[in-house]
Amino acid sequence: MQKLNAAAKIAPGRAHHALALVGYPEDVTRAMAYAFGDAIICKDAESAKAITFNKAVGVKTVTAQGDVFDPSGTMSGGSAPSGNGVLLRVQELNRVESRLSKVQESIRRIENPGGNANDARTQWAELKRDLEIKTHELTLLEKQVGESNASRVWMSDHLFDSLS
Amino acid sequence: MASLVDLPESSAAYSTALEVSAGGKLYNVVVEDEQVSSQLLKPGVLKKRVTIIPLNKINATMIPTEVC
Repeated sequence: MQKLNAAAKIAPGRAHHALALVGYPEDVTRAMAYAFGDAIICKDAESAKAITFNKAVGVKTVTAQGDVFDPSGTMSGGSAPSGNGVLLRVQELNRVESRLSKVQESIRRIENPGGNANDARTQWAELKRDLEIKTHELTLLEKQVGESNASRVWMSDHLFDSLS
Repeated sequence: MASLVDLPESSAAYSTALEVSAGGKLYNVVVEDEQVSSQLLKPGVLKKRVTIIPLNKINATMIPTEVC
């Protein structure tokens, strides 16, 4: 049985296997076959009717408008299906999500060198604080030396020398 | 399920038809195997009733086609 080929012969160029119209990751092929494998998508109602009620084919068909022809004889349609456009909305969602992850990736890349710069800055701040502490210690020591008796004697000796 | 579908530009015109043909299966959850699904179906894990597709157990009814 080659129902798909028979269907293609009945309505050349107007019938497509639903599974062939969607793209999907390789590893979920079986799930996709379960969801889309049992239907033929037709451009118009005439070819859909011809395919579904052809003795050699007898497969569920769906028209581009969303009308369903079932080989058991039922037809459904007439109004927009509930959850209309969910596939298109999901496409949009996937697109936006992939863009989001790309942007987040670039943010990470931009922030990482920034992180290194931050390291350098904190190091600099630490060293600067050390320097200030040391400078302060130096002034304290100088003051101490200046006030000590030994240095006063030395200073006065120096004064006499310069006077004489 | 629906989030796994990548709709090519060429079949955008058929989005309605594809939605109708898959129907409620678009809202099924695809999992690796039946152990994951039985864990998910334990009481209290999920808030809503869902149908789960374990990839190793699912049996698809495909339209017979000539293998080229």
